Amino acid sequence: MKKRTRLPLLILLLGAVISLLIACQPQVVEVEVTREVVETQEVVVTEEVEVVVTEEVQVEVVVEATEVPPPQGGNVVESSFADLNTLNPVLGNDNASSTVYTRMFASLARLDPVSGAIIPYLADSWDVSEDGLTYTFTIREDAVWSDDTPITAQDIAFTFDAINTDEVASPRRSNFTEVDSWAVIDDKTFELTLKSVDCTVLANLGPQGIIPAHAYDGDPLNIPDSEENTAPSIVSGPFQFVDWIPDDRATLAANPNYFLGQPNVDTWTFRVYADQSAEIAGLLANEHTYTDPIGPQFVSVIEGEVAGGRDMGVQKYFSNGYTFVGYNLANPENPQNGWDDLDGDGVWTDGEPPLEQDPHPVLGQLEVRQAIANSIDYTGIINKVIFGQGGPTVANVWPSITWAYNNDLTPYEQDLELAAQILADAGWTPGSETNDAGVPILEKDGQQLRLRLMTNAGNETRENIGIIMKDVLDQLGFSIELDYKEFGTVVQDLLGQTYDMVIIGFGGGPPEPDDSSQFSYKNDEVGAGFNFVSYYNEDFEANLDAGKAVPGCSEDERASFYVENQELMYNDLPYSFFYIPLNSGVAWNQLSEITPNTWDTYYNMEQWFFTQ
Amino acid sequence: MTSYLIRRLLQAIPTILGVTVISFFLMQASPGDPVQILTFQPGMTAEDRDRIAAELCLDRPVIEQYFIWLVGDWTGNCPQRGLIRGDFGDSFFEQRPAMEMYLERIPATLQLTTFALLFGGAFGLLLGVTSAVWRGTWFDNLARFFSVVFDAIPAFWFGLLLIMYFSVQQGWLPVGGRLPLNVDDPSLIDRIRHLILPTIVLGVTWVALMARFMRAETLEVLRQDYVRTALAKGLKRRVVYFKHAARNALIPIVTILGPAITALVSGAVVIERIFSWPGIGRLTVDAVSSRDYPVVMAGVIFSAILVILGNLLSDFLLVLVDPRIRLK
Repeated sequence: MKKRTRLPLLILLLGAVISLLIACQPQVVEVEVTREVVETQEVVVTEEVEVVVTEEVQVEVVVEATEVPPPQGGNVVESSFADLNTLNPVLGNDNASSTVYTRMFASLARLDPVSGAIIPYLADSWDVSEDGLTYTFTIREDAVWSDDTPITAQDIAFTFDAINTDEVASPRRSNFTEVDSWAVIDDKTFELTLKSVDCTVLANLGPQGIIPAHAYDGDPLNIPDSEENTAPSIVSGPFQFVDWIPDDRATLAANPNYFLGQPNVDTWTFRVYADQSAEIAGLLANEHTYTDPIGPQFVSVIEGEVAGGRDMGVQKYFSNGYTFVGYNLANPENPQNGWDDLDGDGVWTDGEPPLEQDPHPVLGQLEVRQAIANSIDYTGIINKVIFGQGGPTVANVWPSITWAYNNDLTPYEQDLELAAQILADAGWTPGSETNDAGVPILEKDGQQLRLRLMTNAGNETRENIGIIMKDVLDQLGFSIELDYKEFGTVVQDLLGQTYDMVIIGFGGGPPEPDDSSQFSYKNDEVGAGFNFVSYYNEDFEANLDAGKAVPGCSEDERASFYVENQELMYNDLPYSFFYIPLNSGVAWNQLSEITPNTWDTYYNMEQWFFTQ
Repeated sequence: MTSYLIRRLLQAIPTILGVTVISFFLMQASPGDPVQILTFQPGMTAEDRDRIAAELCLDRPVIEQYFIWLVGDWTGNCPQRGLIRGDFGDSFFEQRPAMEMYLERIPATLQLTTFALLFGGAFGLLLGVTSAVWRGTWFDNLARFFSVVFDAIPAFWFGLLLIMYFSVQQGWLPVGGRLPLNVDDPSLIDRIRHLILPTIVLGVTWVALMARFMRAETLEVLRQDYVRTALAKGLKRRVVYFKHAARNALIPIVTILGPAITALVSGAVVIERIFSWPGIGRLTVDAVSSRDYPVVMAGVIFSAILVILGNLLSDFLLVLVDPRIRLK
């Protein structure tokens, strides 16, 4: 009988368990395992005959678990068809500039890529006082500028001072409406005091890039003419400035002093193309490694390339934006501010009540808006205009803000019979004149159903939606005049509130369901305010105020206000929402760890690496 | 010649001033407001709008705005020193000097137009003279056919076709841009590779135009007695055609050189867009769209100077190629 030692078996088991444990680790850890051949000699005594049995046993010996760093080097080239305007986050106001300077200037807080929650970044943590008015931020001890100078509360204060200095002309100033004051407590502690409880303050101010005070000698007045605006010399983010050739590219290199660790890739280039077609051609010619998002009309082309074996991947996610038609509820012949200007100063001041405005002669009637909402071919628009790259939406909060989204509302669907019935019930009857489709234009009390539908010329998606809408509405007895004009003129008419209907879209919104800037009467300001549809609903307004001022800002407590507001908006119809874009981010397969998402694709940028 | 040059340059001053007056008021009269575009974002108020308008001097009457742009702000409230002090104003959107933005892009545009001019001139001349010499042959017919086709072909379409074939399908040439990415010191070959497609698309119209002109002029010259004499004396045909005939045929061509330079720079607006070429064309178009008045005005002045210099260049070249002409 053979007698075996159990040692090899034990070692095998141990090895397997350790391997299993290591395999379950979330990090990329490579276990170095040596497979050894152990020669065991056993001596068996059988009746005076000595037999030597030799057996080969394979034993896995765990030598050590070593974290192998990902490959270093390589150049990430991201494309865009918009050029940047500035590299200073205090002066920036456009997406392209923000994409670049956010890689160089860290902010107090940033967005969780999954939930959109505000999470610490430069600030290690923050405390909120019991009355909800004071936020105390503690800045990371290890946070330093690229020149090794510590990032301090003075830098935060300098940034906030700069934004609020007239001569700097920062477009970020409106984020400070509810801010009372700020103060430096010590080098690593910064305090912000609000005028009243404002649960949106972190979403508005948290992602603000912080600039180094010492780069401007501590004086905000040095900002307007500073070379730092186009060639920053001191940064805090994962990358530092190399060069910027306007209309061509901006190149950044890995910042070895980045407090979350030096990025794995050497450089990141922001390549500017003239338009989307050129951008896609560049992608197909392998000129850049990452594009996000690509236009919906190009998605099938890229997916075909991927299916055909091209070494790139498409990742889809719903955008934090929507495309809609806005109805001017007030008379475009007599644009008015949304409040009763008691003190005559032309701006809304605390206590000034809403003003009952002269209504739009057609769109002021809910039934007309309901008829339009029920006539729109939402599915056709999603499938034919944006080639399926979008999803239906019901109201003003996008589904990615999961905690505040109203799941009980059903999106409007096209029902032409219902639309016609609504108009008939409201007293609209065929008149003597006909529209472009040869259908009699409906009339009521001498008022014809004539409307102008405005959008910015050159935006094919919006132009096509307008054509689809006109086609259907003309059949119903409307007379729709398509009013496509250059963007600057659209903005003028929109803010001037001299239009009837507008097709437009918003994107890149914060993870906040509070959209008082779009729907509060306080922002119904001719020439400036974003409530250009002149929407007012007393309950809606009350919910906006209440949702913003919940003590402690608990999402659970705030949610009910916004859920109800979506229902109010769904019924009041100041907008009809067409879709939420389904964005497609395209990256080379060799670029690892990149995950295009709704809130912050760059959150782990220092971890991106090229597999080869 | 010097006095002629000085006189022409002095004459240019009121011309440029006139151009600025017309451009400024036309621009102001067109719909769209830069302040509204600047403040087109949630949360902006009329107070913000007024503040920004005041900082940019856009709250002043239009006539006053023009004089501020021309001579600077005498009240000291706006940071503009005026055109006469060399300050074209700051871009509303980039908040840096408009002229600086032009100056950093002008080399790219000049590079492209110069190469297009050389390409168009060389090929057009060769094609035109050869067509005239081989008049009525298949070569002449083919050259005339293509000169019409290339003159009529839309640049944006032709450019996209070339990109699709040479860049996307074959991968031989870059899709666009002026320089390769992430290369500190691009080689001459790299630079030329980026130039090939935009130069061809921009220059091909000039080839067509030049070929037609050269053919017509050469045919005219070939009928002259001195050409017949030269041929009768036994001079080589190549020498007669290209040294004697072509040189004389060039004289009328020189007169279209000035307008051609202007046309090429205008054409570059489209080409720069197709090939993502970082020149002044894209800057100007974007500035017009966003109502960035200082940048638009800098572009207007640049274009006016270009037209004046182009015409001046034509005059001087005419003297060079035709000794009978004197500048007075």
